[in-house]
Amino acid sequence: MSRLSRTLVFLLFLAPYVFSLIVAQGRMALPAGFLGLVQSSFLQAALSALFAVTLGILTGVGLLGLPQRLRRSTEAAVLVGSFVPSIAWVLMWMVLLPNVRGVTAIVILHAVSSAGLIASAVVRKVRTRWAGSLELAMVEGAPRGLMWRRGLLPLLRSDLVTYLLTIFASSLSSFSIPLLMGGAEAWTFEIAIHQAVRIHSAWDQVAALTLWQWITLTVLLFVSRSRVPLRAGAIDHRESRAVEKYGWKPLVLLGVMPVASVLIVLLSSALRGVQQLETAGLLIDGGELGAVVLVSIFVAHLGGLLTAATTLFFALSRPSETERRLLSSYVAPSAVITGLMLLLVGMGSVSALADALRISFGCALVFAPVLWRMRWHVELSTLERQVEVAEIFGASAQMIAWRILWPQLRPLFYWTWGVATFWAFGDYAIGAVAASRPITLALLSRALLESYRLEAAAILIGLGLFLGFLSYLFFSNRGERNVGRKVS
Amino acid sequence: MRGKWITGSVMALFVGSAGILYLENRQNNKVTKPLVVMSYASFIASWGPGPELAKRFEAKTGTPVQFVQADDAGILLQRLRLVSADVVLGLDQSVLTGARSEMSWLPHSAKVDFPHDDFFVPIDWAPVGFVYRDGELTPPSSLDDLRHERFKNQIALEDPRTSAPGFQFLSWIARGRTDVELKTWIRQMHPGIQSVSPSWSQAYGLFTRGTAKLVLSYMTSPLYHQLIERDERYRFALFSGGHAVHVEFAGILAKCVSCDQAREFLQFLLLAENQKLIMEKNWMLPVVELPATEDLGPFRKVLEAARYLKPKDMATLEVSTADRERLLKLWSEAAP
Repeated sequence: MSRLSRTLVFLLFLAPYVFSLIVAQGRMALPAGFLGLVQSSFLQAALSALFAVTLGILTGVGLLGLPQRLRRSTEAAVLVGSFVPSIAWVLMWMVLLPNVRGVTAIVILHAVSSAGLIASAVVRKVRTRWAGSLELAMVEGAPRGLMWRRGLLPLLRSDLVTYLLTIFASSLSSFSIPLLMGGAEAWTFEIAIHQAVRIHSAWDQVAALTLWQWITLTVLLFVSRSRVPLRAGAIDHRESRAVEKYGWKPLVLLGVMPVASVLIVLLSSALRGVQQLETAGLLIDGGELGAVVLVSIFVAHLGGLLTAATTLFFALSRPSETERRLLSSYVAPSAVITGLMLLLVGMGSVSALADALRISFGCALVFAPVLWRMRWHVELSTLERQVEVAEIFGASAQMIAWRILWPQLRPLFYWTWGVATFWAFGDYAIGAVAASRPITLALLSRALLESYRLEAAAILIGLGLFLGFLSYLFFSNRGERNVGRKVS
Repeated sequence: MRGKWITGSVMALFVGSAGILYLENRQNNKVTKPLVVMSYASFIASWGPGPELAKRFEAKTGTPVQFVQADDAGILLQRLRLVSADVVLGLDQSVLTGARSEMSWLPHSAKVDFPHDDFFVPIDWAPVGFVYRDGELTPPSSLDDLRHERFKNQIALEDPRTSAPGFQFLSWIARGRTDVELKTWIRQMHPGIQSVSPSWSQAYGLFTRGTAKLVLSYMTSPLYHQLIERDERYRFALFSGGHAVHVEFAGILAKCVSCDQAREFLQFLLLAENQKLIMEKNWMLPVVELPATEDLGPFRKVLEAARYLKPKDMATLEVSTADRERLLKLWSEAAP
């Protein structure tokens, strides 16, 4: 049964690749300038990953220096940066640094837009795994710099590799930022795939590029994973003052300032946006906007739940280390391919429900592997010893899953639900292809953008961010509430 | 036990969703088949012309119209392989050749005094050029003017590979130039280019936010600001050597279900009152003459100015797939 479950999960993730091969009728051809594409995209992705992880760690150190209550809300605020649509980041960039373009702009924007997620993961890791060690270090009088250099950073090594690989993979498949900031050069595979589908309808190139990207990343991520062993301390959810001592508050500004700037730029013309919503007839009786808000909440939460459920389902099916690594190495193909494949769900039905389900399924397909790679893989590996002991004492698979794994993975489950919901609120890449009408806030804002109403679109994007932020806080707190519950 | 319950719930969620979809699909198949029209998001949005056109068509013929959103033209064609529709509305002239080769279309019976062929009917059009805000700069008066240093870092363009007006611009500047001349011309324009956005909406957003002072857009763009925002500052820079045009077409898919209604719909789109609706809600110009007595407000002035820019025939409008590929390749080599 477990093997069947795991196979099903893998088949689910492989489906978009199979789809692109079927559409291409098995033919494959690499586009002209392929080597240049490989070179520029790998350079861009490597630099983006390096900068993002550096910024993420520094912001994380800043967050750790804040008192608990302030830390939680600031962490959520910093996290907003990872959910702001790319166009908002680009707008901010063009307002502040209009003359800086090319790979510099791409790398910095990738870094500032992903740093929040890394900072949040670092904070959680240090708090839940190393609080005890920090207490000991504080008693011993270890200074902050030494503790980070000799203690925390080496302990976080496997996580840092994970973050590097995660950002590397996402930067390779990034779209709007490299397209807007990179000029004519295809700085990512996603752009090359996009050009092949939309401009040339060259599915043989799509299949080749998709497969090449997947195999390269899988091999790269798989090999990197095997070279850096996963390690973490036992789960220790005590809230310790030592954590605060080893953080350094001022660094939090590194994460907060870009997010604040982007939000200021995004909502700087809110009044004009309200007028534009009015002229679009969306405020007349609030009916359409209200419905879109409700559908967005449904779609985002279902997407979040499916993402969390998929990762949990896979974790509880007791995958081997190789299988865990395989899922960690998985990178979803272009949103265009996933979106087109999802049209098969519901046999091409154009009903709103079919659209909603397609977007939610699509979000789960894209987000689950990312979040698995980011946190689940490491977390599950740290529980391996407990599972082995339980097995020696004759615990059944059911008992291991629900008495050992689930109670300890529950906070992660809720965190995943929260993060994926936050992301799903902002999705328009999958929705634009898979949905038949603008049923979500993100899709409606896109339609407004196409109708001269940028400020109105910004308001809807802001509303989506706010709702996503609330959902993230809700699930995050729900997970925290479960922290410290006794493991039966 | 608890494990089975949760696993079962997750499975039930997936299976249940699929079941609901299946039942709903069956339900949809039982009711009267609507005419399915695939178009872009802003056309079918509640503030666009789509919903009102659907209402009028149903009142006239008794056939309900169901609008379905498509992404840009490239995705639209891919989407059509997987979902069914009767009419596609919004294909611009640069993708018609591709549309013909990738899909089968039914001939239409619409009559219109505007360039068209047996399969595609024009539904609206607009000259393409540069929009600016009065008082911010001295507007360009020709294509060559765009290379003047007073426009340094001021122009927001659209990427011709991903945007229809972006491609119209590329075709425009390619006219009468050899490949080498075109590349040189593009390179000489580099200092003026503030950004090359993947879509018109993003480029226009940069312009309205003040990041760029000149944007590649439509002759009708200032009308939106004038009529909806009561902002008179927006202007279209009229060029001495003429302009590119953007024409949107509709066609009937060969795999249509409601084919007769589809033909009727295309003819219906060309009625003066519907062309006026499209003009006012889609910010494009009509492809038929509107009655001289009709009060068109500021649109009248734009219609007069655009009269001389109307395309003459399909041959001047369309771009062959080979030419399109060649131009895009040149752009990739020469763009900033």
